[in-house]
Amino acid sequence: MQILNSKFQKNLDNAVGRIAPSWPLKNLVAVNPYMGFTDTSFNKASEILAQRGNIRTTMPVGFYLENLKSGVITKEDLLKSFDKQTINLESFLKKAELLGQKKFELRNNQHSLTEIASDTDKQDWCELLTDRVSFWAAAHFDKSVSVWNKMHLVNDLYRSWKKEASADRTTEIMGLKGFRSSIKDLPEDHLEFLESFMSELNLGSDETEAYIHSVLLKIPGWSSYLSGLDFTGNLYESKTTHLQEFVAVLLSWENYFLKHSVNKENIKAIWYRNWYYGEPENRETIDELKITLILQRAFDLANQRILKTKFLKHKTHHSKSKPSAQAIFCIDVRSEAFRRNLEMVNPEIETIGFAGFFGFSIKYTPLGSENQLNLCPVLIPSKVAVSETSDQPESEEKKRVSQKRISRIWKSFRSGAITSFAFVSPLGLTFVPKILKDSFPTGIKRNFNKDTSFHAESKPILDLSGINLDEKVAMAVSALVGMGIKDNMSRLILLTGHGSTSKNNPHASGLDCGACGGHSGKLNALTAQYIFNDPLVRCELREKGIFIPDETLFVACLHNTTTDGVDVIDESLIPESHKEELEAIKKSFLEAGNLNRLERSSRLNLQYNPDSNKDILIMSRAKDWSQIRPEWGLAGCHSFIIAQRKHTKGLKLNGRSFLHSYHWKSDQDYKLLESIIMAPMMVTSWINLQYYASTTDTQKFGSGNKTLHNITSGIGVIEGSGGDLRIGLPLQSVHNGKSFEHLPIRLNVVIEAPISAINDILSKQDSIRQLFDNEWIFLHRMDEEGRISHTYTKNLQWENELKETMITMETVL
Amino acid sequence: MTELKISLVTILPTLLLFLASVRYLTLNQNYRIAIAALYLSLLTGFGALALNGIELNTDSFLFKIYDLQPFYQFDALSSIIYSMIALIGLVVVRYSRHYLDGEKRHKRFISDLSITIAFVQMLSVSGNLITLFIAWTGTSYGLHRLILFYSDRKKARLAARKKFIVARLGDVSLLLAFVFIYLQLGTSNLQVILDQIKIYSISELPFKLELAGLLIVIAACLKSVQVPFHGWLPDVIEAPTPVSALLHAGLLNAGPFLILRFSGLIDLSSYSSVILITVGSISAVFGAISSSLQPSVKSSLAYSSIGHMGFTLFISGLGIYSASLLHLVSHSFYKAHAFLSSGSLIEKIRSGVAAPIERINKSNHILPALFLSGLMFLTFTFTWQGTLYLSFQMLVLSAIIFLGILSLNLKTFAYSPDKRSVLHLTFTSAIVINCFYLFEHLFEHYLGTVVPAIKDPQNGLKIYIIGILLLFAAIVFAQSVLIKTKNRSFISQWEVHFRNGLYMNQWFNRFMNSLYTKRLN
Repeated sequence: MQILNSKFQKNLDNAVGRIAPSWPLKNLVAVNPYMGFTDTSFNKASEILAQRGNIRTTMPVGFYLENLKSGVITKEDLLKSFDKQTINLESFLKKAELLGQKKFELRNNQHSLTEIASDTDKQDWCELLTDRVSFWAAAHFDKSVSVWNKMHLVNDLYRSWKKEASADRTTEIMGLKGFRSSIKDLPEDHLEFLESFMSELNLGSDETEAYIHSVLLKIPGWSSYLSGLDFTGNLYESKTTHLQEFVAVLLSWENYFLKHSVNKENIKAIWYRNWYYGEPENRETIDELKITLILQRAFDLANQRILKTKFLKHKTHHSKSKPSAQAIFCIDVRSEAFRRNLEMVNPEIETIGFAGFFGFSIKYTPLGSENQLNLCPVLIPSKVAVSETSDQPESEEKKRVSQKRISRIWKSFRSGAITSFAFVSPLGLTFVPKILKDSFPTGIKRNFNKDTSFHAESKPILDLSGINLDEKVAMAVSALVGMGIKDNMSRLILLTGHGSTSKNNPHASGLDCGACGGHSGKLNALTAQYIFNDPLVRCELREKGIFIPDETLFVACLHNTTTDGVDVIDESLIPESHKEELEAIKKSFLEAGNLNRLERSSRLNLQYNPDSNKDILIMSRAKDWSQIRPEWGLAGCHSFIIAQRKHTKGLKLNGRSFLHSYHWKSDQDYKLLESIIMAPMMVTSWINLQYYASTTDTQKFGSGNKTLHNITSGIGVIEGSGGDLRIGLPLQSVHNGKSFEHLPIRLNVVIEAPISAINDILSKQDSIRQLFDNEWIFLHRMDEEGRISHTYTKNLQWENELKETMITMETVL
Repeated sequence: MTELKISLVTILPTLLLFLASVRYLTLNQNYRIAIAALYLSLLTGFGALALNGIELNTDSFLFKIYDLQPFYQFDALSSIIYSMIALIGLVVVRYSRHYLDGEKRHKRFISDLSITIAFVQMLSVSGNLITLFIAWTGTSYGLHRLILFYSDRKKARLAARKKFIVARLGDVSLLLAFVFIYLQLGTSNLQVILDQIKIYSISELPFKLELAGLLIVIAACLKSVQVPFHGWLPDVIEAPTPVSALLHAGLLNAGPFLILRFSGLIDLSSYSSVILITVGSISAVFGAISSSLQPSVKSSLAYSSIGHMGFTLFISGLGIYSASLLHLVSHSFYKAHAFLSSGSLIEKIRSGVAAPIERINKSNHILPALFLSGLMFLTFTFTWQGTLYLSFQMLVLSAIIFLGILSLNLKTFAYSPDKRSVLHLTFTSAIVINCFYLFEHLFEHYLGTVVPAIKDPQNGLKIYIIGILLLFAAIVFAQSVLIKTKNRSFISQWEVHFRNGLYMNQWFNRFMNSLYTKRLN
């Protein structure tokens, strides 16, 4: 293998590092699509993305102007957003309005030879490139769609592409003469090709990075997927270089237009001219972007002001009585609404916010399956192995293995060439009952009164023999400390994970628990229940000074976020002594579910059927194969509050805030706070920026229209018949048809802790500090009365907010 | 008597569907009228199915029998197709209610669906060359509007343009066919035409009718995306999923339906069946192989439809019209369901059943599989037919079913040697054979004399058909058993060619200058 010269290797690594990872649909976890840019300011990154990839990081001007008109953004917000720039407000507004009247146009960036060739030939070679590369990549990675498995799979991406492109005649039919031979003649090793091609272009360091990055942004979807493969590869097994190989694939097109195209001289001349003074830039794009960036910041400031006022008006809730039960919920924004409603119907339940995997990062193996699921946040590797078992594990395993084989053999018969004719003629009519059953789903009314969550599926029995006692104890300690309940445990502690049910929904796993790696939180909750109720573990914990009372029982539950039903996962594990109390709690869950559905119904478009029962309409979404918005997921998320529950109790945050319970006084050296900032906060920032990016650019960083989605190679979707793999969230997940359900607000992290403690952590953790310093997200401090007293500016500086907010309050009153 | 005379009530649903597309209504009104119309259609359709061969005799206004026969023909063939469209239409319209929720042009979508379904209904019950032709072009008009639902999508526009060209060619050829029929027989009444044709025998079919038969075959091939005019079909997934469901389950059927409608004529024509067999089997092989190689779900379904349409026309060419209708109807329900549930693949991947099984690389399973499949096949064939001396065409068709069973059993023995799965899959293969004979018999008896009976083909044609059958067998064998070959790159190259649909669509795109762009600097 060729060794690259180290300077070029560094530039290549930098360019590749700019592409954020993305996960396949079977475990779609939210990810910050700007992850490669956190060392750059938000504004600078916006410029770069606009220049190199036509990616929009702000809304169109019209959106902000409307918010100005309706008073959401005030003049003060706007002035504050100017920061230190000296801008005249009047002339700024005039400019903005002029921009608003202009029709938005996509500008061609002219970074790559392919783009220049498209211009000179008046043929959209970029589209052809996207289609061809995407079609090949889909076939290369496909393990689930095509019935004829490919016989000669080459693992090396670049070599596989060479093979395909030198056979595929499409390029030449569409007018690229000599394309196949140009590919055939390339060196066999991708590094050799990269180095020789790049040395021909003869770009400087920064330009090399810019150029390669812009080429990768031609196909942001597949680039991100490959970056995700490399990300996971590096976390678990070994280092992989898929994205590097992919760069070589894309550069093989550039190579064609440089050396083999009919107009090569012309193209070459334009390209060299474009790069003569460094990376080409489009002033007009940058000038327009400057305006929208100021407006976006004003929009953020406006929403911060609203949030601050909300907390200012709210009275901290003091309750002295010992709770009858404690319910631990995921920090997910959907838990906020449910917790509030649960506390309302039963004030004796104390609710606590904690990451939904409850600190148990497990690798789960279902019975009879070779696939292991990593049920933990994607940032950390799974630690311990848990497997499914049953009363008769051996026969059960055999049964499942053979069932799976039968369905796979059946699929080969059903969709195989020619054999499909022998399937359709005799059995096609059996689809009449099937299609009727799917079109008219039953059982919604019946389940409504009994079981609101449709989670009647089998309750797994877990085998924890893969975890030794020390590991169990260590995990239990950190979980109990993290939840803040080690010194005050009630008789019942409900570990409430969450999951979602929807049908025929490729993006279903995006509605599941992100802390469980895009799966339902059921198995993590169950593992936690097993371990906490284990007498041996309790015994060991006692030696470490954590005393779990004998009468305390941990119960794993699952909150179905589509139907708002909460189920006890395995009733058979509940001893007689606790059954009665649990029944009362279950009743509260049912009532809270009713209230929460009522609250959610205003966000779901239900008017078309005014006479029907709202509960049934909402719950039927879980079984409706045509339902395109089963629930809103995390749409609308705008803040993460790390504080005691008493400050947020009773405060209506409308299912838009992540809540993590935290009491700084019992966190001596702020180790716990640091771990919250490092893990859950990081995850919330990923989620928030994922929604942000899918809203501001529904095409490049959002996955487009769900009605057109076409599942490709079992990994992701394409829109319609071709084009790039689509990443991010579908349009329907952020937009309700009339307006955006998710508003582009960068996350506001609110921490109840002394400023010095927060500053200490920030100065230790550079990657976190960058997020705030570069304004990817914002940081606030909550004081002991539950008010947002300070806002972080930059370089560990804080601004006192209290005076200012008080004044606005007075003017409001 | 296999014909049900028409009363007003049978036209009502179609009229209501047209009403459902009126622009001045609200979305909810459009939707409710369409749904009501489709429920009514179902009633009519099932009524017609049940009453096949019985004449209604009442004097009330709605049920009074008017002599609409010159326009409408509600025979066994019509009632099957009509009921099928009603059911699929109902499911598709219901699906579109939530699926397109929030779309700006949701209302237009429902109304376009209604128009299209109404035209397909009209097509199925047309009793007259003129109404048949209007309905034929009408379905194309409705489809055109549906494809352009997202008219800002470049590829949707391209698909619509390509479809437009192919459809107009088909229209012209159908129009010419009808002109020739009219010139020869002097009537546009379908029943009269079909009755008159019966008097001819093969050798003495007049030239004009021979020509009309050919033109009808061409029109059917163009309508049902036969090679090489299939290029627009895989591009129609540029429109929302319900469009694909309706297209693949309702509109593509127009081709084979036309053949069945004129089966009396096709059967007498000397070249039509050869063309149908040739084009049909080429499309069947092409669609089946290309579909098996597609990495995207909807594209795979699209190519598979080309194959199934080809197969249906192939069976028509053989002259087993009842089997052709069975395949048509079965495929419709199968494909509608497959499209509408195409998002559920990820659920299957999560449960680990999505990946198809690998090819077999040992040969010691071939004999037992062959023995078991053969035994089952012969037993059940004998049970159903009472003899093993089937007509040549039935033999060909059964052989294809046998090939399917064989490949199923091969994989069972190779990969699931445990008792449970062998029993399970053997039982399933028995069901496959029995269902085939059961439904085949049902359709044959139901259709009765609406379609001509099976005739023994000439020896030359027999050899030709056997050749095709051998090709089918080779394909089944190749995808079940791993062939050890030195020339691997040759095979993988052909995989690329077939995955790209042998570039026929690319040439079409080139012809349309699809990449043309005026880019801004």
